[in-house]
Amino acid sequence: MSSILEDRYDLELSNAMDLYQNQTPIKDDGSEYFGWSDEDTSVSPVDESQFLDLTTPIFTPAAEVEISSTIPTGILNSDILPPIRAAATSSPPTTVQLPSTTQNAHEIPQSVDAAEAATSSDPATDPTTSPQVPELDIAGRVHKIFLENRVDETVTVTWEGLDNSSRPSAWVLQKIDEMFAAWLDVIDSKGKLVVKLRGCERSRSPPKWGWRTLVYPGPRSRDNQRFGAFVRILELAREAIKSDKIYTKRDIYYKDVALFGSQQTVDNLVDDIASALGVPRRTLHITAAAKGLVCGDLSIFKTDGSIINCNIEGEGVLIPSSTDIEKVEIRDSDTVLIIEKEVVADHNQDFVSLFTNHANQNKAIFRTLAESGDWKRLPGRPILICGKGYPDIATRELAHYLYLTKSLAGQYLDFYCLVDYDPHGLDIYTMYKNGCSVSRAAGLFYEQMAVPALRHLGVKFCDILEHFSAEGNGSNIKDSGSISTNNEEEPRSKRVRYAFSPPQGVLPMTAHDRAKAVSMLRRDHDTAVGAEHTDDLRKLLFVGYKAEIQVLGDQLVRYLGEKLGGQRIGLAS
Amino acid sequence: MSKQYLTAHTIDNAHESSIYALGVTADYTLTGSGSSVIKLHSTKDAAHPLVHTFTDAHKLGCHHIAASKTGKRAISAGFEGSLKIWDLENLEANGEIPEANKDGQIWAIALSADGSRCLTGSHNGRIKIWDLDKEPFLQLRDYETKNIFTLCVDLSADGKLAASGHENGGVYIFNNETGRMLHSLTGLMKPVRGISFSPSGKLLAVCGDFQVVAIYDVHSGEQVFNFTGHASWIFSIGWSETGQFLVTSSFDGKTKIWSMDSRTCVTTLGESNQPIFCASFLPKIGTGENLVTVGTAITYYREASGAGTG
Repeated sequence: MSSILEDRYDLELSNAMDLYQNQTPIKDDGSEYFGWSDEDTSVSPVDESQFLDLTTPIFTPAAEVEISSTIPTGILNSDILPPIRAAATSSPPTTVQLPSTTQNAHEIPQSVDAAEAATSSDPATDPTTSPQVPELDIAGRVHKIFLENRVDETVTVTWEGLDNSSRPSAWVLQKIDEMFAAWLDVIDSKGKLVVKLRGCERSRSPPKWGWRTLVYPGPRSRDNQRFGAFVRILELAREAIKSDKIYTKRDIYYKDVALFGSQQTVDNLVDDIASALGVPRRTLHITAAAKGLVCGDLSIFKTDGSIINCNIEGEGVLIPSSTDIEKVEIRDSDTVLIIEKEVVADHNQDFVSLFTNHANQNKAIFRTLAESGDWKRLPGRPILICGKGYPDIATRELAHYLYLTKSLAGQYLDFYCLVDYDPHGLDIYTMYKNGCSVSRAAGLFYEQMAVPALRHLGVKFCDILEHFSAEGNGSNIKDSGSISTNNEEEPRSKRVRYAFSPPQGVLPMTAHDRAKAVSMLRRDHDTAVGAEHTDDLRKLLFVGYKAEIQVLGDQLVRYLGEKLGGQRIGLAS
Repeated sequence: MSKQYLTAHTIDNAHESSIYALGVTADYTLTGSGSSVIKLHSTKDAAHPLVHTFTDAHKLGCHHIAASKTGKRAISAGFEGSLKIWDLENLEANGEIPEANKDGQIWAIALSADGSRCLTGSHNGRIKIWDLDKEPFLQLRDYETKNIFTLCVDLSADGKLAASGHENGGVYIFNNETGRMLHSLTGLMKPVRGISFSPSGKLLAVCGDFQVVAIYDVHSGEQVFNFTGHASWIFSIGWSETGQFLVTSSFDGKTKIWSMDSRTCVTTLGESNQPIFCASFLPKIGTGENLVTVGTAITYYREASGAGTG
């Protein structure tokens, strides 16, 4: 225990030293978390005095500190001084946090609310406190210690990311309550709150298990905001579990846009919490909004008794959460075709295509196949699944479910994936295949979303090649043999046409694509799962072109027919 | 006049993945691929056996190799963005120019004839000359271009001139003595993938996605003439020792040899439609102009007429 504490102090001290030496706030990923606006700096001192005697518990948004250039340097320095340093040099000024509590202009209304709440002494009216848990009022108490002098007494709650995937939601509820209860003691003893979460650090490449430490009050303003977001999500999860509701991540974001700042913050924190508790996300009663589509000869029997027939012409059926699915019945299909995109965006309007007046229409990949019923005529009558980019959990779980399910004929299904030939497309393919985009060892429940038998159908490197030989180069390339032939110049007209019409959907790699490809290479180059697509990543980098599904253009159905047919013959032989 | 070539030797599984990089000296054929190693096959021996392997050269794979004409030194560039220097006399690593920040990552490389200077082109279009003779390696020149990805660079034989080709079709010639840009060659609208000074240093051959080999006069900056005939992106270009012939390789698997005398294509090679990422003449032994190509395999070709041996 003591070593853990020391580690933490070391970390904090190093953070503190950074800040102290820089004298200016580090705003590295602050914007990602909070999305501050410029008005923050325009608060008049009058507002500050109005709230100087604020003693009411209000929760983090108002307590949040934005350090701006208008704050006098003295305040700024003491403001960002970490508690540990303050404790070491006797006690900090009692008013340090207060002047800046109102720096955040858009939080003022809430502060007013809170002040009113103080006079009526009813914390439940505080907009940031969940009405469902007035008995705890954790947020209010958390803010209380923020206002008081602090000593270096702390309570550390550690969630180690052990495998608890079989535990019920009630267990999560208990864990949350345990933590909140532990905090209540600290609040009374004027300590600091520390949460250590063990989870997979997705930002690292290669991703690895690591500790994420949340400290309240933390050395930097954004630490406090992050802690606030963390508590808010736990509160909402608690509320959802208690009332047996399901929140989507989008719901959570809209519960407190100012606190979370971005959807990404919510997504990351929810994943971190689930990962640290060692439970699937749905155990927290939090899901992603339904995003994936399915279309094909199957029926989904839901737990509420309704049956979704996916064999209808149209845009496909939204994939429900796996908890709502009783069972899935596959009829006359023996193939699953996973498609990256529903609609191909029209961003190929480069100079040359404008020049040559190419009609660049939105080409709906999934939708064309689903609406036209073309899928019924493809070999194997494939079930189409579309995750619209990176697939959500429900989509991956349905794919995994189908992977474990036998068709009517008693056969396991074949799985194919059609993605863009670019770093993101290959990443999406790996995500379906491994259940997650990080390497296999890092995930606990990702096994239950993986489709290990998934095969990469296209778009492939050779498709660019074929595209080229079909469009530009009519000459037969097979007859040259090892003996060279004297070169005949190809007809000029053919050459010119070719040289000035870039293939549709073949685009140059951007700096972003290159960075993504290199980071994927770093992540996957020495893993078994990476062997398949790392060579493609290198080819993308070397050749400098990527290809989108629309490179197939009108030939999509023919292409799929050939590829799926070819694969089936390959299987038989 | 056409030339006749025979496949002399093919090494099919030299590397586990595609081979992107090729450097040739009188002794060694250096190849780099998606794997972390650089392999050295014998250039002289007709069976071209594997002589040495530089292990752990580039963790993420190697995309360019350049070898000095004297055969003493080679450099290689990896996908992670660093450059490594290899001593070919003692067959050992000889230092590294580490990975720069994201934009400054090195892509294209070239080495002077004696191996003492190296030229690098980076993602953000910076062209730098380094002194490789003693560590830490000093930066002798730093040319700034228009922040466009540098796909290829070359140094003239006497080391006085440098040239770079960029993703937007830009081609620049620099005078290393004055540190000034000599010419900015315009008119190529597509990625320039290969650039090479002739052995005499008077001509500059440029190729790329425009499917044409353009020959420029270095002094005037004028385009002297074009070679047309490739039907796909041209990945590499190289001169024969005498400057009489050029070899180019393309995405559609074709390798072409062009005669500067007759200004025509004298040979087209290519059995498959798999891309040939790099092609190079071998140092001349006897009368024939032999060459080696890399892509999916390493293939050596021997000129059939005049080679003397059957």
